[in-house]
Amino acid sequence: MEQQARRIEHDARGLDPSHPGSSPLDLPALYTQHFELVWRNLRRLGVPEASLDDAVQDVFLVLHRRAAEFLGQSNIKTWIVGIVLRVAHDYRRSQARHSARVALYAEHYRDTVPADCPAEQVELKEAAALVRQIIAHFDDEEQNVFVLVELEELSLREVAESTGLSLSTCQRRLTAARKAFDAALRRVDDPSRKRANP
Amino acid sequence: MNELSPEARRLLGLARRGDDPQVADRARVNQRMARRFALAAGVAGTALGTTKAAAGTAALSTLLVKGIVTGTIVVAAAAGTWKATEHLVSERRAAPIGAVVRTPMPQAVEQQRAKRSHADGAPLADERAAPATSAQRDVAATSTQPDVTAPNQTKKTAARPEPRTEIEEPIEPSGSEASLDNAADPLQVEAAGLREVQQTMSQGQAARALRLIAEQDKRFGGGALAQERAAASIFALCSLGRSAEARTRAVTFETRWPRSPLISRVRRACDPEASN
Repeated sequence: MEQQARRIEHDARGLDPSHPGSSPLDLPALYTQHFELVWRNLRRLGVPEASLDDAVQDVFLVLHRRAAEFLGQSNIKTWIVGIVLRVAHDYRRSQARHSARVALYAEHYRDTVPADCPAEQVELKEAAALVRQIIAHFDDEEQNVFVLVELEELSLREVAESTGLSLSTCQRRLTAARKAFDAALRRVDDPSRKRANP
Repeated sequence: MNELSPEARRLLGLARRGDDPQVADRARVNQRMARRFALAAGVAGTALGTTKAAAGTAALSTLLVKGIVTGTIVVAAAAGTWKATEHLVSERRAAPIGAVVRTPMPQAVEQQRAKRSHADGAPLADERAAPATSAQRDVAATSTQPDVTAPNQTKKTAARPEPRTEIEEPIEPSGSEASLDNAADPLQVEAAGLREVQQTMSQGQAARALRLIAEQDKRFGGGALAQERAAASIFALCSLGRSAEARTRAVTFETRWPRSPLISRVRRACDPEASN
């Protein structure tokens, strides 16, 4: 049974179980492989720019602490995403309690696209910033499901695994979030609608 | 299912590629990760002295330093942001697995250490603070860490006690602290102090370790490593059989740093077989 769990886990990770250095969960390998996944989703999920570094570290510290518990019940990506969701939630909550002055300053500073940034990069960054701005107003579950489906391109089944929600709940949250996103985007495109319908 | 408008689809298509970290972001986090794990390993070693947990954490920090920081070398070299990489790599190659936990330091300190190490005939195998950058100064400050649990995980497995096994703790050649006092980075000095505490503990001199911690608390106040010193003091008290005092301090520790990664070790400091 244990062997089977380990095989599933290694399959999920795409790592070689016969490698002598392979521990049940090889943190440096996980870090190398999933750093970007963790970073971008913490950012999308509303972790303040000033706290991103700390939040990324926290995710991997939790991974390290919980490594023994990962037995391959879920695939490694959805397991990590589940941890990302929890860390992001805690940071958002902490931010709400904490004076946001410093975070806002850092956010403003970081979001300022450098003058020498290629035009294509500018467009990507501005698009990402606009999406973050819109989804920041969603409730937690809608934001999580929307980010994972529309930005991270996970399947609904994977989202259900990561969030612990049922498939049907994920579906409802996604539908509501899509509707809200479209409506918010229309308001952005048409400032007069924003004034009339804030 | 409600579908998104074409405008929304287009925006999301762009946004998907707009949130990735920059090279400098990765380099910065790499260094901080390696440092944070290295410090945790140091205190874990002090904590339980000869436990599997300490061995695991020490090995992990070694892997992180070897893996992540080596990754940083590549990334940072590409970004042109981090020097001293060649020196670091050559030392890592020479040092034994399980003993190397260090990050780069100013050249002057490196040279002093190299000279001393050569004279002692000892390998360079210890932990040092990274060069002074504002981003690295708070690497050990864990007071803002949220305590999170992955979904679908059970407490039972998290609380599994860790059996004791014998390991060798990396020992820094003595007399290094004075030279570090001259270093520009206060974090380096503070880290050197913590390492001295660790060495003293590993030599079974818990009372002396406590005195060192008290001196350092006075000297550094609420420095970057206050949490690690507080944990070390609890482990020292347990070693001296002063369990009641240790437990009182453990309660204070938990109140002050409720999300500390050291908290489970602090909780079972006087009773390694106890669950969290």
